[in-house]
Amino acid sequence: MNALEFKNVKKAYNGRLVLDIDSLSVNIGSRVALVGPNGSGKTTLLSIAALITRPDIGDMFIMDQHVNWLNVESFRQIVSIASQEPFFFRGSLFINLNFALSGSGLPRKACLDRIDKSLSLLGLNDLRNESPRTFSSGERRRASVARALLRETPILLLDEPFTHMDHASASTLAKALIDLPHNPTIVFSTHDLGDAYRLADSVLSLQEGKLSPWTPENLYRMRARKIGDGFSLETSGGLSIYYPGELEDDRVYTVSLHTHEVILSREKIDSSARNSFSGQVKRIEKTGEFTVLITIDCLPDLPIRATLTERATRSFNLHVGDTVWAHFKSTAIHVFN
Amino acid sequence: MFQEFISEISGLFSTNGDVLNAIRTSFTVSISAIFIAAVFAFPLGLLFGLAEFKGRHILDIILNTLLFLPTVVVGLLGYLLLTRNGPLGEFHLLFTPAAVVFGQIILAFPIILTMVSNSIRVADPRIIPTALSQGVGKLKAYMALLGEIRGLILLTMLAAFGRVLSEVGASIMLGGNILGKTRTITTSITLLAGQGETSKALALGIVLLVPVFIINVVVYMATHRSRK
Repeated sequence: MNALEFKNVKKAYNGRLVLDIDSLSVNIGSRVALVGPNGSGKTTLLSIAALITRPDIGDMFIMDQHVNWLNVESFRQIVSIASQEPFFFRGSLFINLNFALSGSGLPRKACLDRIDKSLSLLGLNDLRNESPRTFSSGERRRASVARALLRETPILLLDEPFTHMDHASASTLAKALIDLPHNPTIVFSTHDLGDAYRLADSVLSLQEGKLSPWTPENLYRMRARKIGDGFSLETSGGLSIYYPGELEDDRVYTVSLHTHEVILSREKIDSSARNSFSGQVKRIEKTGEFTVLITIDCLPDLPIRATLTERATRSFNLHVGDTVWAHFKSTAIHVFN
Repeated sequence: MFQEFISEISGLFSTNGDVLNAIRTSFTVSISAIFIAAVFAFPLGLLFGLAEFKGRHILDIILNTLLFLPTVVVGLLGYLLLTRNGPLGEFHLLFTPAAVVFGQIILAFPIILTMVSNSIRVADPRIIPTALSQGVGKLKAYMALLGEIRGLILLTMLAAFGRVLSEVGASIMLGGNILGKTRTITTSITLLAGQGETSKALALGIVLLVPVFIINVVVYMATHRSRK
């Protein structure tokens, strides 16, 4: 059974086609990450799936039922969304959460229990009586996820839920989402491969509104070898990365490295980062309004991609062919089982 | 000068009940007009604010023009409608408080309609989608929208009330400034000024402003609190 299905769905804004999906289906109970650069259509796709935006043409199915856009109220009981730029009503966070449950028909006690549970899960207990309009971006994002979780809908859509969150909070949230007792189908957008792998069991990539084959950033197959106080993760080409956590000796793992956590330098620097590799800049590409993705080839099987701000790239005066050093701390590495 | 005003104001109240009557008439007539106008203009304002339809821009221009309707022109049109030989002459409303209410409804109607509709259009476009996406149903989503713009709605009512309470053209032409019946504060001021009693006229103007000031304080406090 499919939780979500899109067939020939198209959406244009001011004559520009922002979403063009021939066929997409999401199995019930699965967790799908949507990746792609800014403006690739992730938010539009989620907004259509959340029944907020109506596509220009195409068919959508929720739980194998065809969505009739003239009568979507019953489908809205199945889907909830935490938007990228959430709106909160006047009043406290509690009032906002209470409003989200006001159409559920749940008894008062059950509503209060769910609100308490959701606030605890997202670490928002202290902000319960504060207005979300005074929250920081990260707090607003968490409040939005808390609100989306309340109704315990079978389909949960999250638009960049981990943005503005530190690694520890993101890990806690991902774990909480995986452990949700009602086991919802989760579709979430992210820029971060670590987040995608932390939570998703499959990844969909969007490029200019279309589904495209997914090419992961900084994803490696590496063999673990026990060394002293930790492990060495080795590529087939012989480069190794130090990893302080517990792994199985001589087992091959999928390893990802967060592109934002790679530091570049012209010369080798002495720093607390345990991993330093030198290589040539192969590609410089603009991926967002303010960020640039730089690919460095250290070995054919270890291309390292680093995300820098546009300003940093300019002041660094980096060009294709330059030799640079890439440094990263061991904590920037995510190992997937 | 100040003492003269104070004595004029106390004089206004001490001589007879005419001033109190005028104040009562002013407020009764204006509040009735606002209430009746709102019953019709408010839902229409909601509809215009929410709906997308062809020719909306033309309608906007017409409604905006009506905001500048001279009160005396409304008085004149009302007079032509309500006069004995006019289309509504058989109701014998001319020179009654009802006729003044009629004129003031025409003045308040476009203000309420336009401002309610504009308040909706400038409201955050995420309000309705956010409410609907939480599965609360359309009626509740629209109530949430109204809750978000309640400060603007209150200001709309205040603006319309200010317009009708301070107008004089329609009141004179349709009410006739009859003592104890259709004389309002503004028509009293016109009369006193015409008789050369400028100090009294000015004092009456201040009397008009005091309750309006109190209403403004209440509205300010309400909107200030609801902004959070």
